Amino acid sequence: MMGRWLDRRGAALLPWLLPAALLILWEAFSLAGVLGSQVLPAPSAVLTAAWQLGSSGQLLRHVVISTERALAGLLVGGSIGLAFGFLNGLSPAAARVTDTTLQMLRNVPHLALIPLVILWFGIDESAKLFLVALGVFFPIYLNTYHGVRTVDNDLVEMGRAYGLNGWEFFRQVILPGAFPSILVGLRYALGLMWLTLIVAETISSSSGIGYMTMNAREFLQTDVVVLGIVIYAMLGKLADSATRWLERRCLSWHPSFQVVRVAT
Amino acid sequence: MTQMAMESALFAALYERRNLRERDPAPPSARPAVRPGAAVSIVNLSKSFAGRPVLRDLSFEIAPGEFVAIVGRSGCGKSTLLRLLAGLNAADAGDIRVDRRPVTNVVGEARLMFQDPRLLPWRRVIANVGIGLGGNWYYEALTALRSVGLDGREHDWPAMLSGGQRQRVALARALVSRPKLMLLDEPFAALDALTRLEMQQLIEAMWLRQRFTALLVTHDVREAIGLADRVILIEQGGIALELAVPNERPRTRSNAKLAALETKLLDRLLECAGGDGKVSRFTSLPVQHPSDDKDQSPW
Repeated sequence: MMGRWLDRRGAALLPWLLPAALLILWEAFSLAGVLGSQVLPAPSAVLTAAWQLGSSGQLLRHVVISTERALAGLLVGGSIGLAFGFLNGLSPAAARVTDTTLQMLRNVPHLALIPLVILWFGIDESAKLFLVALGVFFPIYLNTYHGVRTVDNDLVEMGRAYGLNGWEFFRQVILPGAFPSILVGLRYALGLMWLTLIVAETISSSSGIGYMTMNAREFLQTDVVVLGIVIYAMLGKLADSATRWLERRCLSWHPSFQVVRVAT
Repeated sequence: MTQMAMESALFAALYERRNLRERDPAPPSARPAVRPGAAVSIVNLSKSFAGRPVLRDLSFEIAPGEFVAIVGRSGCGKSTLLRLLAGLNAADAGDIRVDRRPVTNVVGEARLMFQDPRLLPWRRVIANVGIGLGGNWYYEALTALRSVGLDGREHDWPAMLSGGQRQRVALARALVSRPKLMLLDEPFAALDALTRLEMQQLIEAMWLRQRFTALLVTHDVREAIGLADRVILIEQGGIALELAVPNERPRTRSNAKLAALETKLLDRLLECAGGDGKVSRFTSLPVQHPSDDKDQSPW
């Protein structure tokens, strides 16, 4: 009983073993003076910076602003991506009209548009929103489109034979059939969301984590720079965990998720 | 995201209905138990795919409540016929009528059972049975599930059922709307031998109880003779042979008359293939004496 409890605990801790070891090694090297504090400050120094910025409320403000921008961009770009994905997946005519154009646009690295975006929007919020929305649009669009196109044709036929049509058909057959693929798109999109935001904030901003780190660079506050990077990593992980949770919640019908449930 | 909200709404509804059921153990059935089957008439039906004719000038009729089996080799057009009847495809020429109404689209009175169960994996068993139903669907779906012997499994995911159980859910789904015409597209082909026998008996029992018109498409001659009142053999898109089966039920596997019919059909099928060999020469068909009829095991 005890052994099994330990086993389970061990299994939960295992993924964190490597990061913890690296942190300890990092701290040790810093203490030994191998790593200069201007090159890479010790984890403890980063923690101290986090504490200082946190207690002044600055850190929270930057994190909240960045998260707001990220989510707003995701909402705008994601909804448009979903809409086009469903439209093109369900209507071959629409796909013929728009898909080629979208595929061409997809191959333009959206970060290459930054100079243009700055010319269009200046450096205010809409520039960042535009970039993030553009970044998340393509993975969501592509995976939704693919998901709708690959809904089991037998089920589509069954739905028709059993009198489903319109909204009911979409709700019961198309949407759940495409959902696993849409979630894959969402996970990609979340990665791109943070990436785009970091770049946009470091280039032109007066708030947000990107701004915080760029500002710290000018004052040679390496600990704050590292803190910013750590926060991005944490936010990225958080977003990924949220999608995985969503996956488990919504795909509980899926055999692969049922196996997991039985095993624990 | 919306899926989640929908699921929880569904569960709330289900839960509510379950409570209702406990309070009121015998909900009144909205539809009568027995409805006369539909009359089917097919006149000069033709259909080709990519220039290749699949059905040529096919005509036949099915009386209300009759059980007709269509046999033929794969590719003879028997499945196409069923899809035309279900309204899933449109014919090139000819006329299909169900209860004197032309079939133009998917018909409400007809239900199609496929070779595979085709359950929605993301809906629970009960929701799969109640698909496309409105009103009092939960009771009706539950009753249908009970009639195929799957009560207690209503809240399982389809993935948790065996292949035979899934096909029984598909049968419940087809039966729940009390169809007047049941179209069966080799619904036993993917099942193991034992499950197939059970499923055949179940469908026969349902047919005897509900008296719908049944049209079974199969390549298994014995299955056709075991179930149907009449067997139609289709070759190259047309009717090659039509046989009435003596109407005694339950049928036994060793009935000499049925065995003779089976031999006749198989011989004809093999003739069409161009071979001159008679079946009886190289297969071990059970051509048995009438005295064996006491064997009451299902055919």
